This record gives sequence, structure tokens and C-alpha cells, in this order.
Amino acid sequence: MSELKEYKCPNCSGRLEFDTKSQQLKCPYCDGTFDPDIFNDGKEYELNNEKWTDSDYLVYNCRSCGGSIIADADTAASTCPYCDNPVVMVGNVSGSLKPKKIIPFKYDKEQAKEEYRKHLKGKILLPKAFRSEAAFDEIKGIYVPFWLFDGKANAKIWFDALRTHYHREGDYDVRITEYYKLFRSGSVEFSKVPVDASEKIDDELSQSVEPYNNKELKDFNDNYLAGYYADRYTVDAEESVRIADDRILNSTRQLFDSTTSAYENCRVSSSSINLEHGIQEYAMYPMWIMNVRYKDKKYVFAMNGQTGRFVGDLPIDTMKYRFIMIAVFLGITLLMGIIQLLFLRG
Amino acid sequence: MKKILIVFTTVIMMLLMTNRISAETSIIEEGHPEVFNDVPSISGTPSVYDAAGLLSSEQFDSLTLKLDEIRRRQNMDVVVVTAQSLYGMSPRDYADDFYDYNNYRNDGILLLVSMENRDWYISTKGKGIDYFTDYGIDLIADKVVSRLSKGKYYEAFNIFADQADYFIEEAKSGNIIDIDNDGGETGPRSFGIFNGVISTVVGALSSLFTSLILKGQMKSIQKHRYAGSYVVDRSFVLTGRSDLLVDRKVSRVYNPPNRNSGGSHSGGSSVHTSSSGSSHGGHGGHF
Repeated sequence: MSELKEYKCPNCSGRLEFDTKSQQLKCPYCDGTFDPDIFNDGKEYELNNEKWTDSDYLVYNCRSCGGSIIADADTAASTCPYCDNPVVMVGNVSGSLKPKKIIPFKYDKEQAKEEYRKHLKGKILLPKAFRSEAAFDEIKGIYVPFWLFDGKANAKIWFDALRTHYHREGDYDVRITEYYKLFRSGSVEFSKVPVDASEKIDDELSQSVEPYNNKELKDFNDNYLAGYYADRYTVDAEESVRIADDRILNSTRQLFDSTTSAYENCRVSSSSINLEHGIQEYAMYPMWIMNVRYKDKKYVFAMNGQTGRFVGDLPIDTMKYRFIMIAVFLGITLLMGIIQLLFLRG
Repeated sequence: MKKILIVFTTVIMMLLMTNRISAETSIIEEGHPEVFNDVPSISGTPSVYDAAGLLSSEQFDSLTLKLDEIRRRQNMDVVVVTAQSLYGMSPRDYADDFYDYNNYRNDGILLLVSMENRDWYISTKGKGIDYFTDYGIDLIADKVVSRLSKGKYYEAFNIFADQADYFIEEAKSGNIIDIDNDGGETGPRSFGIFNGVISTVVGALSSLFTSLILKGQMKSIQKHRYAGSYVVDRSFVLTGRSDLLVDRKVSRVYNPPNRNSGGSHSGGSSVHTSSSGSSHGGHGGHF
């Protein structure tokens, strides 16, 4: 629990960080690169002088500069705020807490900032001052813990549906309504449905940056964490699986529904869907999280560290909004009036 | 003896000559035709001939001005004629002959109103026959006759003038008003409440639509309820399917095709030949 791991360049003792462009551990001083799947020269050491504060925070002393690294019981990786020295809390990523898989970061901090700027572009209702006044409280690259669930859904579903045909017979409009009972049975498999296992990160936020490309999952190695933040899971798999099941059920129903598109007014009359649970894996997914403060309100932005997908709700300039709504209403009403006038006189 | 003969001949000759003179005077004096079975012969080709005195002199002048302008602009004659009596002639013959024998142009339309039997008649000639179809004349008559019945003669004639102008204008731009093409309501439509409502509704919908789009831009964080991205490729298989027809309902609704209420025309103008040998269109009725 008190073991820290540091990543030092074997050539020059500079601190190593995982570099997104090369996907390797890189030394910024001598440009040496090391394969994160192989590199084994991280230095672990026991800490004797960690302190507990009142509020469940742990304080570690940075080996390089002596500065205090503040973490909590769940922190698995962090960096020294003074000298940027990356550290991994080994205890939180070993044994039963060791993740099976990890998707490494592909986007770095500069790119995250760039995506943030792009996110603000073209947002007509954004208050002008936001761009200039909004200040970053923090920008962090975090490996978020996830439970990944495989599953198979076996379904038997009955539908009530109908079809209508119209035709003319002499002076009569004839409408024929056919009532059907439809039956569908089948199965569908799901792979690696992700559920956010960190209480600190809002589920909605982490879902919004989906999907992650599972093909790039790597076997876990703490080398990937160097230079980033990471937390161990705080939500159990038993609790998380319910969320995955929910999503799987909804998708299953949707898929079966789509097989009845030839009919109108399709309603499920009864259904029986049984979920077979497959493997569940503990993985870490990369996310850039930005906390921004504007006019005393906090705004959270997130970016998928693998795909670059950027999300975050923005404030609306109400004056501008009202003005635009009224302008559009008046403008179009006037335009329609003129068009009709021309059309009548024409 | 000779004296009596001379006097007798002179008297007879004078009688004969008086007849001829009185015939001539009746031609010269307007407004008091003493002709039987012949339409009044008038000088010039006035737009308005108000033998029945239905218009005040101001109304007469105003209407004349309006029709003169229309006739000038459209290059067709549009005439209003009123009569106290038709002297035994049918309204059709009276109207046709009035137009033909008084040198009006080859293309035109004439409205005749006779107080004797409360007849109205619309007669068309040349291009007037094409421009004013049977259906079109019905449409005009609808508006005109309702005013005639109420004694609003000036109003009726004004409407006739406006309608005639409009019909000619429409016809000239390729839009002859007939059963299949009466353009909704006849007459120049004006901007009404309905148009205002449409404009407002479209304006409101546009505003709403814009609001949805712009607000949508600002929100990107939402719960994901589905797992569509995690379906294993080609793993969706149907092992059983059946579509069973369990019931069948038939409903038949009587819905005859639209029949127009105004007679059995399928459009066009019916044409007859007048006493002068020319072709006229038009028809009439009572008010």
C-alpha cells in the first residue's frame, strides 16, 4: 500500500513519461524511447513517511524533489505538482486491483486544449465572454477504471402488428386492415460493454465520450500510467453489471423491433429475454477531464483520450438567445407575408 | 275639283313626310328610343348607356371613367347597358344587337339590365367569348346579381367592371378562368387574416426549429441507454420467426367524385349566332 513506483530513464536518469505520439515511454532529456510492454526498470520503493490527514488524503513525498504529492486511497497514478515526476501507487494496481487491460492515451494535453477550442467554435449561443474569461481550474489526463462486460441475449418476443391497404371500388374508398401476430426468436452477442467504475467520474460524462475502440486494448502494464492520473475502481462489478444489462436489454429490444419494419403499429405483446453473462474484465480507459470556471459556475468537459471525441455542456447567453428567437420569428413572418403578397398579386 | 285634289295630295304627302321626320328625330334624341323590335341606335360607343336611369350623374360619370380606362388598357370593349323595357325582344337578342349594331369593337363583353322583367344578360363577342367562359360568367353573375337584387346598381356595375378587367387580365396571361381553373375565389384576392395566420405560424415554427438546433449545439453530455456500438459483428441471428394473420377488417366509405353545382358544362363557352350574323357567347337570368 505504501509502495511508490518511479520511472527513470536508464540512460540519463531523467523522468520517463508515456508519449502519445510514439506510444512509448519517452525520456524528454535524451530522447530515449522504451517499449512500455517490456520496460522493466521502474524503481519501486517503500515509503515510510506517508501522513494521513483528517480528510482521508494521503500525502506522499516525491523522491526527486521532496515535494508533497497529495492523493487519496483510490489514487493509482499521479505526478508531483512541483517537478512533474510521475509516480504510480503500486498497491492500487496489483493483486486483485490489477486491471486486465488498458487503452493507452493517443491524444496529449496540447491536442486536448485544441479540441476544447474547437468545441467552442461555431456555438452561436455561447456568451462572447466565455472564450476570454473562462479559466481552467485543471486539465488532467486520467485513466478511468471501467468494468467491461461480455454478454449474450436470448430473446423470444411476440408482437401485435397491422397493415393497411387502400384502393378504390367505383364510388367507394375501401380500406383493408390486416391484423397480425408476429413472433421472433434469436440471440445477439455483446462485447466489452463499458461501465464506469469510478465514483469520482460522472457516469453520464464517461458515457458521452463513448465509444472506445476495443481493438486497441492492450494487456495492462503500469508503464502506460507514467505521466497520467489513474484511480482504482470504487464501484463493484456486481453493481456495475446492472447498468450493462440495462443497455444490452434496450439494444436487444431495438434490434428485434427492427425485424418488424414491414408492419405498421407494431407493439410488443409479450417478451422473454434472458441474458447470459460472459467474461467481465477490469480495464482502464484514457480520458482528458477539464474543469472550467466561468462566472462562478463550474463547467466540466471531457475528451476520449483514444478517439478525441470531445463533450461538455456550455452556458447559453440568454439575451442573445431571446434576441435571435424574436428576430427569426419576425423575420420569417415578414418574409412569408411578402411571399404571399407577391404570389397573390403575381 | 282640282283644288280639292291638290289639297288632298299635299295632306297625304305631308303625313308621309311627318312619319319619316319623326323616325329621324327618334334616332337623334337619345334616351327615348321609340323603336319597336330594334335596339336603340346611339352615337359613339359609350361605356355606359343608362336608359333606365339607374345611376346618378356622378355615378354615371365615375363608372364611365372606369370602363373607358379598362377599354383603353385592355383593347376590348366592356359595356354596361340598362333599359326600362326590351320592347318585346329577348334579353339575349337585345344585348347582342345593341353590341353589334352600335359599332363596338370585335372583342368585348356587355352587361344588360332590364327593369321591365328584371332581366340581366351578359353578352360576349370575339375574344370575349374565350375569356369569359360559361363558368366564368356564372362566377361574375353571382357577385353582380346579388347586388342588382338589392337595388345596389352602381355597386353591381362596378363589380362587373372590376371582374371583367380581372378576367381579361388573367386570360391574357394564359389563365382563362373556367371550372378546372377558377383560381380559388375569383377577383383580385387581397391579403386577409388567413394569410396573416399562415405567416405567423410559419414564423413561430421557424423560431422553434432554430431554437432546437442552436440549443442542441450547446448540450453534448447525455446518458447512453443503448449498447449498439458493442454488438459483436454478425452475432444477431434469428432462430425463429412467424408472421400470422389473425384478423381482417374491411371498411367501405361512399365518396363520390366532386360534381360541380353549376350545370353540366365541362368548361368552355357556349356560342350562338345573333341577328347580325356574328357569334356571341353569354347567358342571363333574373334578379
